[in-house]
Amino acid sequence: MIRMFSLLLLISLSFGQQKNLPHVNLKDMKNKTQNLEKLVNGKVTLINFWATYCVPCRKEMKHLNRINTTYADQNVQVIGISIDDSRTVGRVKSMVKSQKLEYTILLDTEQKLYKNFNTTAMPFSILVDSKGKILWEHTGYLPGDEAQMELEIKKALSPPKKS
Amino acid sequence: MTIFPRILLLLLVPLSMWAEGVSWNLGLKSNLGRGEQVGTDYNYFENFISGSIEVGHWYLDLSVESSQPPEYGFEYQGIDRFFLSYIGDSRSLEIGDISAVFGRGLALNLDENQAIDFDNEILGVRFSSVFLENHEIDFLAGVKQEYRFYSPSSDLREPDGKAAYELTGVEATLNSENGLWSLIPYFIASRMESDFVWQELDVDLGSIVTDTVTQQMNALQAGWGQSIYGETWDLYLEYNKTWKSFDYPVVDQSIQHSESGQSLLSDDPQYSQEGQAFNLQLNWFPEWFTTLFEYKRYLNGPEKSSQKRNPLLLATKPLPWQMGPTGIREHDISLLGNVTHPVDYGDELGWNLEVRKTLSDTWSAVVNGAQTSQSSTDGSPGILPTQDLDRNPWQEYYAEFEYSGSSFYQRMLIAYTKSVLSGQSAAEIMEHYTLVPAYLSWHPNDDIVLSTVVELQASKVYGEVYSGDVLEGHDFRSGHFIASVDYNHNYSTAIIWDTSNDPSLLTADKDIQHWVSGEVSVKPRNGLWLRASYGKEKGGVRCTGGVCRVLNPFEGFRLSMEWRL
Repeated sequence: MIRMFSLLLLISLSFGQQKNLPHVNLKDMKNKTQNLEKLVNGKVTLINFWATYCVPCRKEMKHLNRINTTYADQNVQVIGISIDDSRTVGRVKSMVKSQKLEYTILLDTEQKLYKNFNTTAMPFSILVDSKGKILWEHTGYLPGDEAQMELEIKKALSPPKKS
Repeated sequence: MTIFPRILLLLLVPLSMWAEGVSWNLGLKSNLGRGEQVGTDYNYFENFISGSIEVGHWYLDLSVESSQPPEYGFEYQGIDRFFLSYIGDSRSLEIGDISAVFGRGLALNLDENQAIDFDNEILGVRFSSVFLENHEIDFLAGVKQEYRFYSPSSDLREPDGKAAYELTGVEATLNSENGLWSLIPYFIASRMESDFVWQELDVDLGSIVTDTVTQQMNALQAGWGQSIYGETWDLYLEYNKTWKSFDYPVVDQSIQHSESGQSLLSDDPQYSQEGQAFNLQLNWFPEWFTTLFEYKRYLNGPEKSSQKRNPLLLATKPLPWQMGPTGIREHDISLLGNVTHPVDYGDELGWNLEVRKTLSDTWSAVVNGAQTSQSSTDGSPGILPTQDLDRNPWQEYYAEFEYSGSSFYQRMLIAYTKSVLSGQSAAEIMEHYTLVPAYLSWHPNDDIVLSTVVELQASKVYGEVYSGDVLEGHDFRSGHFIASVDYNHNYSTAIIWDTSNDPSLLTADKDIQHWVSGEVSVKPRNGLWLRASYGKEKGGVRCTGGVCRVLNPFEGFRLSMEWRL
């Protein structure tokens, strides 16, 4: 079995395609199902996985709120995805309101999308282009990481150079 | 490896080569530990290779485990997780290891947490569909061949017992067109088998024999959740009932010896049991603060104290998938996390009130209070938690202040926690005063972050008989300190120091115990994370969703790696 998995790994590394945002439907804070692809469509999107019990996530939020506002007119948005499970998801609304977050919040209560990225770290952010292609991933938050996020957003916004 | 996953893998290889729109993800997680736990060798080496591949609307997730042995649980080599799904715009189908939550999980919460060897997911199928544009229906069915469980106080590396179950359920989500409310009714049927100790008279032998048999339990659960959304508030209510029946009755049995031989005494045998659970969450968020009030009344399986102490008597306990909101805060403060309490989903009343206030652009405050207790000792459950010592009461109050500036982050916290462990005639009472004067980080420039954590706790343990007499106890102090440096966002080093004069943790020749360890973590490239630590770690309580386990101290070397491709 390990041999087969190694084979799959090697072949995927050789022939693998560009990573795209997975197809997934998530609930919003009013229990309505939202298709993530449709929300992203046409916008450079910074997707941030967080949880109410994650201290670094809280530190990062106000920077995400600022990025969402600053770049809104350049077709950039932030989507926060809470991975709180059913036992703590009731605290999401309270946190969002107290932090006065203005960006879209979705709930991945069963962590279906989060598990897709094979990580256990939080916060976890991905930047996707307007067609859902994953451009950049980032794990954790240390003060100053927001500068790197803005740099990657600016790169995504700048048109590719002609060779 | 069975033939089905093999075929799928072989199909996926050419798909990954030729198909357009293929997206993949691969990851490796490894944890190695070499050391001692309470004087005995404690080694582990666990590896998980996870791969997922997406082709159009189809998604396959496969995880292989090779553990010799794992940190917790049994040695295992084979498929850890298999999951295939189709996600359409209005329908989805899932096959494999199914995680699912109905409502907020009071009746059904299927989840996995490797950190405490908890996994109640079923192997089965799940189908969801949108109907009438605005509503959804969700159906699932499957089996769990080996559910492993630990009692909350267990410090064992391997589980206290195992059970097997099968279940099927259906949930509908009905949303109002104006977005003001949603209603979530559900229904679940299940069957579970677990070990049970049974005594009976053997006529041939002429004596009473004690045997471990398999007890079968059938259960039905029905309930509903309701959300109502206002301008500055929202309310969530959930209620469900459980009906159980057993083939072997639940009964207290005892053998009485007399001159004429033995006789078996049994009290009133129970062939069935009913339970119920209720949860309420109210969020209120006017302009100047936010408030969360939570109330719970979990009566999924009130037991006699003798039944509670028996971890193998699963039939009368809450079903393994009944795990609603905890109603208490899960702490990231180490010393507070160690004095929290495992939620009793079988018999617990409680409330929790949290108020958050943003004081300025940089300052915020949180105050929180929570109380829980058992419902009753006389069979007529109450409504509100009590602080009567014979009902295992628990309470906690804390205030927290946070400063988040451009280069400084500081958090301060003060908390009071009181827990009671009720015995037959007296109760053990523990009071803890926790102070966190510094949870500080400072980044003087773009490359360096300096952080420190200081947690202090003063504790008092004493006893009280139910008549009111106080039994002499003892006091002790605990501290938890971390100093860390992060460089260039990719390199971190930390020293962690724990200290305590808690008599239950001291070795014979010492008045105070210290645990010191060092940790280095490196992110050499995007997606790769390595962490190594060496030294003595204190251990303690680790909880997830009210399910808590006591983890023993560890002394030695640990290495962990997370690599995403």
